[in-house]
Amino acid sequence: MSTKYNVIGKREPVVGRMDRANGRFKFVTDMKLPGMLVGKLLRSPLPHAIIKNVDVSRARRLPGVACAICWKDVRKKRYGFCVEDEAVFAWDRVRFIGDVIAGVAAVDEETAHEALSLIKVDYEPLEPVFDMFRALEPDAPIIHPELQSYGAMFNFGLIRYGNVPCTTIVIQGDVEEGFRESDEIFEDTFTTPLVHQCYLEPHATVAQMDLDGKFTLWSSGQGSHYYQYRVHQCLGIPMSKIRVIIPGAGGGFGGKMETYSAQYATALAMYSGTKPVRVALDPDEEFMGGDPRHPSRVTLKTGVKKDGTLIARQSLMLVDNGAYGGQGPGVVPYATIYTRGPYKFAHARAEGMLIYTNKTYGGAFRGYGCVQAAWAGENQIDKICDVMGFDPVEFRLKNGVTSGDLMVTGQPIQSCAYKETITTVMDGATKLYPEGHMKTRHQRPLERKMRGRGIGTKEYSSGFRGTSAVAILREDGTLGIISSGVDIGQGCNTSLAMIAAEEFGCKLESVSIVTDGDTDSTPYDYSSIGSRVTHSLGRAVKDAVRQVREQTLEVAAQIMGDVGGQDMLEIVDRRVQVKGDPTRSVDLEQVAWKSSNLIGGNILARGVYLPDVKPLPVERVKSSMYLEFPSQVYSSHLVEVEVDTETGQVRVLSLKAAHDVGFAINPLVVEGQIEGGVAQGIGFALTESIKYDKNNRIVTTTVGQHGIPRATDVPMIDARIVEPGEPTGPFGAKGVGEPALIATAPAIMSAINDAVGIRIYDVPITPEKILKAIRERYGK
Amino acid sequence: MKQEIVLKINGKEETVLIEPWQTLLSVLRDNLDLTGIKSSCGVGECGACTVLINGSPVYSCLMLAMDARGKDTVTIEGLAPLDSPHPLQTAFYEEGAIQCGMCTPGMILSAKALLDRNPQPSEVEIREAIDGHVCRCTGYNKIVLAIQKTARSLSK
Repeated sequence: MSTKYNVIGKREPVVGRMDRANGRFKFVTDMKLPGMLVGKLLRSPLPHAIIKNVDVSRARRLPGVACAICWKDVRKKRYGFCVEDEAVFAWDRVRFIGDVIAGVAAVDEETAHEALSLIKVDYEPLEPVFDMFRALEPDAPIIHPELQSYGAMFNFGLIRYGNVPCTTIVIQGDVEEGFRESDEIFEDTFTTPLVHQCYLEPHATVAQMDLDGKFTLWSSGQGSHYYQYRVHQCLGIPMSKIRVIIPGAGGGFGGKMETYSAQYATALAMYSGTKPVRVALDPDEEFMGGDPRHPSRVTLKTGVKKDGTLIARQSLMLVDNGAYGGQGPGVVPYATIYTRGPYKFAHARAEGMLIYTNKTYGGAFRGYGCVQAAWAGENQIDKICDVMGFDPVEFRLKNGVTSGDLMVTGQPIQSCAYKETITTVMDGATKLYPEGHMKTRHQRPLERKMRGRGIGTKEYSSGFRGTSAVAILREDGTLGIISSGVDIGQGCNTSLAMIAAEEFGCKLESVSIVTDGDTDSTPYDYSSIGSRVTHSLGRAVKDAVRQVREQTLEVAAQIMGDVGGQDMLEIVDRRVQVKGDPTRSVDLEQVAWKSSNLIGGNILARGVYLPDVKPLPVERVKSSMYLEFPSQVYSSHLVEVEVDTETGQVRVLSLKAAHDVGFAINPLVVEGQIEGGVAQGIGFALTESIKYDKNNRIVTTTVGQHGIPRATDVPMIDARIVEPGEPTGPFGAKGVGEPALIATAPAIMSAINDAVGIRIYDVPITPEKILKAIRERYGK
Repeated sequence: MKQEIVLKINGKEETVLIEPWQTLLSVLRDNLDLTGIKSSCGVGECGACTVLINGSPVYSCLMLAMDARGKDTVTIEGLAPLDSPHPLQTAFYEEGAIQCGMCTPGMILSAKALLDRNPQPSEVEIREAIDGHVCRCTGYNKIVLAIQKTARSLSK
């Protein structure tokens, strides 16, 4: 915790959170507007079929139904994140069980469900494809025959064909030469399943049209401006006629980057007069129709010298994407560049491929593909250490990156505390295991309970995407920040207010900041995603406040007269004073009032952040999404587990997590992110997945069935903050939201291997998998 | 066919017109506008719908409103006056135990029930007491710390 600053670096409770503690805060799912209608969606029961006809007429006639609509009632437009292949209501064919065909708005839930049952859809079933390898076969059914005609938001050498909407290739050096130089080569394949974000508040939007045809949306989402654009893109309503407000989401974790409610609530509101319509996904709809973490199959070939120097790594990531692009064309390129891991490989080649199948499609989920990449990459590093006899900490300290080294894309790494995160979790030790431990650990006889320790590490990005914010000196001398940082639980607006207070020179309580992202009155921000808000929006806020401070001092100098110019002045609490002389001062409130005459109005300024990154050369990187990032973040997780060799259950006894965050603006919130992320990492490692039955139908319908960890599944997490600074971050801050969970699963695998000498290549590491592996190893 | 029943909610007698199959959760949220209780999983797994019935935490999504007759129901709104929060509410706030806030009302009520029956719980006992509550944001760390802090301050 820093003492050189007045406001930042201190543990501050998130402003306003008492309203959650006393139940007064209204989430979107708590909202009740007069005349509000219930919106429900009709979803395809078939995985792949041509739509011959959709008849909503009987539903329309049911008393209590305001409207029943399908593709004929909205414009026919494909949209999507990187590949524009989705539609509000399917019109040509349905491509997965859960694809939305129609919607109704009715006076209550019961009537809405009855109306759905009255909608008649004629399908002509097509052969479905559920297996990604089948989807790659030349005679496989093509899920998107018009793929080549679809728009693409980014095109950096985009490659697409058949059932493959995009591929990514990243080349560093020459891996074949690297393998020739290597003494040992390891080849392994790792897999991960579909995993849901399991936020407690579902996708939900209340939309209402007024008499001028303007729509107001209250949404549980991650980006107000992003949703505004999406709704405009889907339905063709002018942006000026769409206002999005996000009061605060009940969790997001990336799953609400895209919206599965706003376009539907708005479409239904279009046909409901001026009555508000609420669309909120039911729990089973979330699992089949939300946007979970993509499943993955990562094959790694790694070459290493006998002295433990890593030389070359080749990776192929295949992602069974599901029926539509979703966030896949972003997730796969992102993941691809992180399969190399935080190591100084001389050569690397990373390829990623998205494959369409007739199943639920994936979205953004904390870690954005890097969780899958790290599960593979770190797991294999642990295997290399195990087989070749290298201590996993020593090995990483030898091969790990530092500031100035290059990413696999050729981008230089700015601030980098990778090795410091390792030595921090190790409390200074440079070896994980005592001398001789690795030689004897796999010779121990099998006991009922066996313990082990392991480590996992990771690299991730921070601070992408430019943004802006406005700062204003209000008439009462307090500082107002007008920005569209969206609160999904991470309390970003308190961190931004702290940055503002520090930059201005006032107390935190003198800063007010917009917290609902109202698109009518805030400048555009991309979204609360990608661990970017503190870094990117923080920089913009800091810049805006810097300008407001300078203007304030200038005006104060005019008011005070003989002070020798604004350089002689400073802001202390609610006053501008001569530096070190509180007897010569003027209240900020006075400055604010007088500025009306002196400069024609409020002192205000627009702050901007533009990441300083150069586009990557296409010979080196072919991708469906930009992959230039201004900075990287690192972490190490050290875990102790106990394996019950009779039940196969794993208890996480302790977990230390050290995170390079550049600088912690609000350590309380940074710790909360690390701790929450680690719990998700434990779930990802041991218990979580969306399950299918033998007909490829999703059978998971609740968070409990999904395997979400509870308080007794998680130890007290020891979160450590490492602060190397960062030239591109506000006061040196970088992001932490996503990195929080990436290193956990491989660390747990490393500890399980230490305990019982087995290696699992697939998550979740269930008791069944452990027992099978133990039986194979110990012959019992 | 709708029926009028009387329920005691947060110390007050409330007359509500309900369907006999309505859950207590539905009556509290829809009939009485007490939206501090949340509806999430709807099947008694996540704990977001928790209320106190005669001082014990209960999943209101699994309880018929009819079965709440003659009992004392306390929701998060009734835990303490707005201007004089319960020490648990203050501790949750100060310790950073509230991120998105969806699990918070239920957690706090279960924590209150725990401290009422066991004023000096161990960490294990705290974790077991909140095991019926899913939190996706916090990893439970600061929730446990907030409850421990409250236990210490109440024992003074």
